[in-house]
This record gives sequence, structure tokens and C-alpha cells, in this order.
Amino acid sequence: MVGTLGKGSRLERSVNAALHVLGSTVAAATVGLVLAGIGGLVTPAVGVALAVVICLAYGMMELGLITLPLPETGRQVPAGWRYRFPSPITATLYGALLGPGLGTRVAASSYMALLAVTTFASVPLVGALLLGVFGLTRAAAAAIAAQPARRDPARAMSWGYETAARGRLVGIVLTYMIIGALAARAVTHYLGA
Amino acid sequence: MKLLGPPLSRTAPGLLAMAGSLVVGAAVGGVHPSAGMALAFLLAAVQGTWALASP
Repeated sequence: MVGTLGKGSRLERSVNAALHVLGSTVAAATVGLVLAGIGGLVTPAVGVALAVVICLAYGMMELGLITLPLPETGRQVPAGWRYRFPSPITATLYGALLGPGLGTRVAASSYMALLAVTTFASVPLVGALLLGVFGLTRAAAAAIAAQPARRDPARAMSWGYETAARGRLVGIVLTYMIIGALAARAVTHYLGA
Repeated sequence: MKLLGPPLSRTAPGLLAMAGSLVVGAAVGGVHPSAGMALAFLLAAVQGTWALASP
């Protein structure tokens, strides 16, 4: 996927990167909108409680204490699309496929905490913005990593692995902070009611 | 999912991060009801950037 973004002239790379980011952001925001809409079917109190429980469960999985299912298939993007479509279309489709983070590999189980907050603790617009930020940063990181990939593909691909431990720790810190913040919000709500 | 690195539950930073983060999160969530959502946006940005670890 990074290879697709790193080939061609400077103009082609820029166009492909922009389309990849656009496809990823729009697809992720759409999924966030739909998830928050579905989560809106339960009352806000039940929604926050569900979000806390799911965040806690997947936060424990991130710590290696339990194992839970993840919305992944073990596959990433179809390699054949590189030969079937022009590179701008391939870059857009790859972005749309990877952006929502569903069905492809899940790098961190704390991603489920983000999905839980999006689904059960957000209104649709906020849900769209939340997953939109995920899709935007995911695609932008790939587009940035793809630039030096022309000269040194191995280094570009290994960047994520080199920073993975720090990323996990930050993910855990934020997940448990969200749990604490949502729980405090629920308690404050009930005490104030 | 294949975990990258050792399970953090066996490391002092992992346990400290969990306990400290809960307390700090509860404190900021008690002060401002939107704190949880602000943290969720930060998590989205971190997760998005780090997703490249699974290219």
C-alpha cells in the first residue's frame, strides 16, 4: 500500500496521497456517523455505561490480561487492485478500505475503546468527527511514510514497528483516562440529577 | 492480533499507566463533562498514526 503512494512523479505522488487521505477520512467519518446513529438507539445513561464496560474490557486486553474478539480479518488491502486500476483510483480505494479500521488488521485492541466511545457516547456528528480524525491521521501517516519509501522501502515500513511500544503505552494511558472521565461524567450526572 | 512487545500487565510502566490514567481521567472528567470526548479525539489521532505499525 505504501508502495502505491510512493511511486510516480512528484505530482502523481501528491495527487495519490491527497486522494488516499480523502478516501480514508470520508470512509471513516461515514462509519463513525453510522455507528453513533446505531448507538443512539440506547439511552445516554446506558450508552455511557456500555462505553465504559467495553473500554475497560479492551483496556484489559491491551494489558495482556484477557483476549477478546476484534473486528479484523487478518487481511489488509487487495494487492491486485494495483494492477487493475489506475494509481489514483487504487490510492483512493486503499484509503477508503483502511480508513475505518474495520475488517483489516487492528494494530491495537484499544482501538475498540475508540469505537465504543464513537458508538455509545457520541452524537452522529461527533462520531463522524472522531473516526474522521482516525482516518485522516492513518492515511496521512501512510502518505508521509511513503515519500522516503522510494529510496528505502524497508525503513519506511519499519517506522511503525519501531514506535509501536510507545504507541501502545499512549493508547493504554488514553483509554484508561477515557474510562475515568466517562465514569466521572456518569457519577456527576447522577449526583446532579 | 499479534501484540508488539511483552504484555504490559507484566511491566511496572503498564500498571502505573493504568492506575494513574484512571485517576487522572476521573479527575478531569469530574471537572469538565466533555473531557472524555476530548481524550477520545486524542486517542483517535494516536491510533491513526500508530496504525501504520500494521501496514
